Amino acid sequence: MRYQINEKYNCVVFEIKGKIMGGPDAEVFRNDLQKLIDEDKKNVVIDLGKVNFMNSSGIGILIGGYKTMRANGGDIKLCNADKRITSLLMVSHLNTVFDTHPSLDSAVKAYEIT
Amino acid sequence: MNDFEQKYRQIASENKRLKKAVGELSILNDLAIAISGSLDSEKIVRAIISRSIRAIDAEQGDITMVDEEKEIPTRTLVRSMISTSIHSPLHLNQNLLGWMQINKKPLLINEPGNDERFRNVKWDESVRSLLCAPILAKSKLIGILTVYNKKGDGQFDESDQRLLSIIAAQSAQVIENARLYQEEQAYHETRREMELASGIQRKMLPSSPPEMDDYALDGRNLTAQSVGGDYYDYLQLDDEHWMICLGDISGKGMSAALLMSNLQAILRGQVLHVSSPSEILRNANIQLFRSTHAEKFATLFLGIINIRTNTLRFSSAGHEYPYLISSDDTLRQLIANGLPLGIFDGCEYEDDSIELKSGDTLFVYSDGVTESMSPAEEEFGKENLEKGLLAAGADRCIPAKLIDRIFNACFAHSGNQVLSDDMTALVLARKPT
Repeated sequence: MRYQINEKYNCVVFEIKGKIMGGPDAEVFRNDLQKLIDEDKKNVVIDLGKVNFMNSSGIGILIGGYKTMRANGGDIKLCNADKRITSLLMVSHLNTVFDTHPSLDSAVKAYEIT
Repeated sequence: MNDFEQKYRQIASENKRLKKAVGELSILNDLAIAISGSLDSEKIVRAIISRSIRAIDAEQGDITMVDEEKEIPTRTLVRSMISTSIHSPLHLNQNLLGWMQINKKPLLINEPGNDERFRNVKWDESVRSLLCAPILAKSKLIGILTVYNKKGDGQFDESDQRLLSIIAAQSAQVIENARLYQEEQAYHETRREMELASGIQRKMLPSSPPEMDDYALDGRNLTAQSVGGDYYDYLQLDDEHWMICLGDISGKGMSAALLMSNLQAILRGQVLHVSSPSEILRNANIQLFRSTHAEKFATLFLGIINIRTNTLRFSSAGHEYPYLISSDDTLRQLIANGLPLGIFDGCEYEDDSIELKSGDTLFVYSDGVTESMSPAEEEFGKENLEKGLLAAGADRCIPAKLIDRIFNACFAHSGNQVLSDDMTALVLARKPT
């Protein structure tokens, strides 16, 4: 799992590439989120458009991040999930937890409205 | 006469040199014998230090082991000290360690206070002189051999430095071998522990398929590592009811296995007195939520079959939808909504029920089945699973045969590579009449 962090309007966008599979990646991701919380940047969008695989540990990373942000008054929204990840979120019923969007623009806009 | 005197002096000096060389060789020989037969690094280190002190005529000595691969190498120091004086133990300070790690060559200091290289170092007053030699294995610094204070207020000289360097060089491989041997022993110990854990875990799964009149029931679990995070179980609750379940703990290895055992204990504690699958899941979620980290969770399908009325009540906590294959060669998934266990407190789950008709087969599985990866990184996927389930024909009602077929198809798809995830399946078939 590699990612780039960009800021777009009032959001921080994690553009993730490759596989989301847990392991040491989780720690790095957690630390990056903590830094954002410290800087009071709490609107996070995870762009899954370039993710080609995600397993249950990968979902665990997203859940961990989601819970951290929510506990600190922030949120994580997902966007650009492919068919497989969408199905994974649906089967695990996590589509009811994460606010998911078909595009990055739509996810960013969702923060403007709220 | 002058010539004779000159010759005499020459011979005497040569004699002295040869005597010293013989002395050094005998020290080295003695050292080689002392350390060659042992794999105990503590013994080896002590033998090297004691012989170094004697050979160099120093008061104290120590070996500082260095692990350069650790983030802060000097934190991993192991020190051994042998002293022939009444001074308190002396140790290599951080500045000298740093110098040795950078330069990896011998270091001779006879007047510590006046040494330009270590002007800012606060020296222990009792250090009058010191001599360090690097212990290098495959050009990696693995330790530093140091002797302190030449006896009789003398000074270390270049021949001392040469001898200590030879001793360090000769000792390096033996120390490295002993270190590797100990690492290997520790690794074998961990392997043994894992094998034991794996055996315990296997025993937690049902050992053999149960004898039932109108039904056939069986499950199988293959782990990607010695212990796994998948889990299946079945249990007769009374004359009419059987509980079946299959779960998947996020992650693999020991942490997932421990959580799996926890989940099994929670479920087994519930099923005998709670009759509703959704309530069992609700209670299990509360308990798992309290005992897990946010990133760890379990998906679970749990059903209770009434073998008289043929009604299967089921509930799911975010688990892959199981398949129901009917005798008319149709197939559908049992869709049940519920969040995985252990993520949020106070989740509610739903019960649903179906009637199992004669010749119906329920196939419950973990994602390791559909996520079996081909060498070209293509997943086995649901389409292949559905094809396999439909192609099984009469084997559909013989659980072991159906599982064989599906797992073999997964292996063929993955080119018989090592499993990347645990694979588990459970089959409940109502025998055809």
